[in-house]
Amino acid sequence: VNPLLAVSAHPFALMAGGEESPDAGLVARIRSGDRDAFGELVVRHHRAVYAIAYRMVGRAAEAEELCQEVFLRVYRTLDRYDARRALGPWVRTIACHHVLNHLRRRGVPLESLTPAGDGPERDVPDPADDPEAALLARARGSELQRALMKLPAGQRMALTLKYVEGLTAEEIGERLGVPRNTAKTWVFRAREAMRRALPDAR
Amino acid sequence: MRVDGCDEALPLLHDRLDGDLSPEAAAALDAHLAGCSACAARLAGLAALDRELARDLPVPSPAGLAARLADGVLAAEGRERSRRRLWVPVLAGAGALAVLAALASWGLDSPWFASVAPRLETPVSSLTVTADDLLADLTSIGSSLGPAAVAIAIGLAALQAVGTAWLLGPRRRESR
Repeated sequence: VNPLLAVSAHPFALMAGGEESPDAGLVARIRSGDRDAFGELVVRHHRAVYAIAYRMVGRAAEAEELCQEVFLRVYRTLDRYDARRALGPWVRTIACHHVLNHLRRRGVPLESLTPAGDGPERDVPDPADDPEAALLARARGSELQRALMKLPAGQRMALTLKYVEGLTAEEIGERLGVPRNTAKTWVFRAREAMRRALPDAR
Repeated sequence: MRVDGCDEALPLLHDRLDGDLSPEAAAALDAHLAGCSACAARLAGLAALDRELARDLPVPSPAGLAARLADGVLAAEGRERSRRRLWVPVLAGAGALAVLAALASWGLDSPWFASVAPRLETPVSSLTVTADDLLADLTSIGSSLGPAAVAIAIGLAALQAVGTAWLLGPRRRESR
């Protein structure tokens, strides 16, 4: 499991014995108006949300904007948070759906039967117009991101969830609302496409 | 179980990486790998890719991102609340006007208005109003207020209270 994430539990899993999540206290503090508590929530969860957003859009500035929208949505929907479930998977589920909706609005298909390469080329970070992205994604990292951006959105998200969050095919399916076998196929196709794009993986 | 050819072996290579192979499938794959150097090399390549993806996909976030996000969200929420609060006096005024309009519309048809109407045609200079007249008017208004008018007034007041509570409700989140 990636060290970025303290919790990689099933997104809809209840706490053992149906008890309150350790995050319930934090959420209660935010709901009572504690601004510092919201800052704590963001500190705990922003790395995973940023990694998902960045890997899906490939531009640092756009990823940060998406993170802002995700946390605004989290803040406004805290009333719907179920205190018996872990907060991390709930936040990351909101992030996944928000990012996919963002891509859908831009006309990027979730799934495509065409071979890898249907991802829009304009998504690939260009060092000339995004120096921040260039700093983040040097050499091999840039090559990896370029290969990732050529995957259909569903495959890209499945691969990101597998390697950023360490989710299983079943968990990816539940997170994205697709059957387990679809999630498994997306990971398989994505990994094969990445193998072809990065033949000298180390 | 038996693996016939490299095409059949390929998904099993991925399943092995994911730890998703049954003992029977694992044995069949091992038997295939023992005699197929191409698949053995592909498995090694996939394992290297697996390590690289696990190491490099979790991209580090930019410095100071958490603080920017938290500040940005709270600022955006504050602006939204200010915008909503602008509607409070508008809603309050509209509610008050609605109550007055409902009562006035009913009042023009009431027995009280019928009793007062002749006096409205009397010249002001010759109009005399005694304390008894005022008392009679108030009594008449009170007795004329039917349950319908009271219900309308209460209903509008309740609607206004709910609307105002909704507009002001989220303000508690900026109390600190």
